[in-house]
Amino acid sequence: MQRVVEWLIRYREHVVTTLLSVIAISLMSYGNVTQLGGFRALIIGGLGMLQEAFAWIPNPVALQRENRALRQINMELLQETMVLRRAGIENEQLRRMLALRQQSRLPLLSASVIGKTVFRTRQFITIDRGTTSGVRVGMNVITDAGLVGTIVGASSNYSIVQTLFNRDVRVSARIVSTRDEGIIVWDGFEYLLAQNIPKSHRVNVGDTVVTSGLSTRFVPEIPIGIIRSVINDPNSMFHRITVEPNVEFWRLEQVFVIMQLPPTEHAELERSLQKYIEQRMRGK
Amino acid sequence: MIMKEYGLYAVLALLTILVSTVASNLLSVGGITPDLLLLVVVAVALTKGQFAAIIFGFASGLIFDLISTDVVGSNALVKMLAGYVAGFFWREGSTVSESIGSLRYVTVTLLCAFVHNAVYYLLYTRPADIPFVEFYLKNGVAAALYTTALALLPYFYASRRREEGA
Repeated sequence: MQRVVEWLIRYREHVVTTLLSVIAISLMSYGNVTQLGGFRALIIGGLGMLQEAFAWIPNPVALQRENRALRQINMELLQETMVLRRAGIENEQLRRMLALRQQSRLPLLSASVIGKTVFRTRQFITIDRGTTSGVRVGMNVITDAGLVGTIVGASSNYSIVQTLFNRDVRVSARIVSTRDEGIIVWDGFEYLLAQNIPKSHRVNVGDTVVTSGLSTRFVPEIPIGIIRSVINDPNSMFHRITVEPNVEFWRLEQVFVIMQLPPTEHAELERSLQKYIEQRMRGK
Repeated sequence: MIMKEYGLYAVLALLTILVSTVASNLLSVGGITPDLLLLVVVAVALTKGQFAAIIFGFASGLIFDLISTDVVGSNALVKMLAGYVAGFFWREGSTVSESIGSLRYVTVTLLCAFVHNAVYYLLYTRPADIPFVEFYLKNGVAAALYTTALALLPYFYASRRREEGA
């Protein structure tokens, strides 16, 4: 016994490292921080206040990039205005002719981005709306350009949005022109990938990708991005499709929260299915 | 005296975590952020030894996981490993200014940053369809260099204090 104790003391660094590694890996397999409930809301509230207090400090690199982008956008907008004026008149005439119904509007809540958090490559934004404004975990966040992400944490006055540039995000999506459906994931860099679209289906560069609505996590028909390239991978049955997101995540200032949650029963059913699949994959 | 030093490191770690969380956007250059907490973990390893660095790395990493939105346990694991690796370079009896005010601190930070990022990104990319090598070369190497560049600040400060003391 004494020998064991002596051995443990002698190699305590290695023993403790092994033990703590096991603890850390167990914690990781347990799940993410969203399961910590009230504690997390407290942290979000505190950090939200701090981020709001320091929101006025500019990042010079980001400002320079933003200025360049704004000048570019300004030029493009000038050209687009001309086209849109003509299209607006034409659209008005067509609408009247076809007596199109006004599309139903989603219940939206405007919010300001008060903080951007970049943990290595995970991107989150903090917004100045929380549970007192009716924001709940799971609600979608958009801009006029398209989908930003979902609320993953909310305190009374602040919420954290997980953007599409995140390993954990998977969006059920549809290509507008062909109605092909796939899964949108982050490619790890600056674009998204549309997965699970078979090579037998024709996909065109420039096509728009929107949320499909097949999953309850995202409201259908929200624009996601434009197909930038389609690569023929000889080792796969599927296209490798790169999608350029519509939303420029690094210069978000104002967003809208879609104030609706998926129907509970449907969402519950999807969650239980996902849990079942995860258990099967772990071999339980 | 010893407790006071550990207390100082704990306060430093908490401040670092807060700055990393609140001001990460300000520190970010092209989407790459430095790992300020790693600088503290390496400093603890070089001044207090391997065992202290392992415990400190794990505890501070866990707090970072809880405060940030990262997967709980991921930073605890990599910070602990960084403390473990850095601990091999500890020289018993050396003072704080001797440990941090030498180029050893910068070199060990660089080594630990590479190891730390390699393990973290391996865990990060594993469940996703993200190529690890490409991802690590683009983000991990840049983040390691950025973190090492910031290690020069405590190095210059400590080396100046060392010269003044000599």
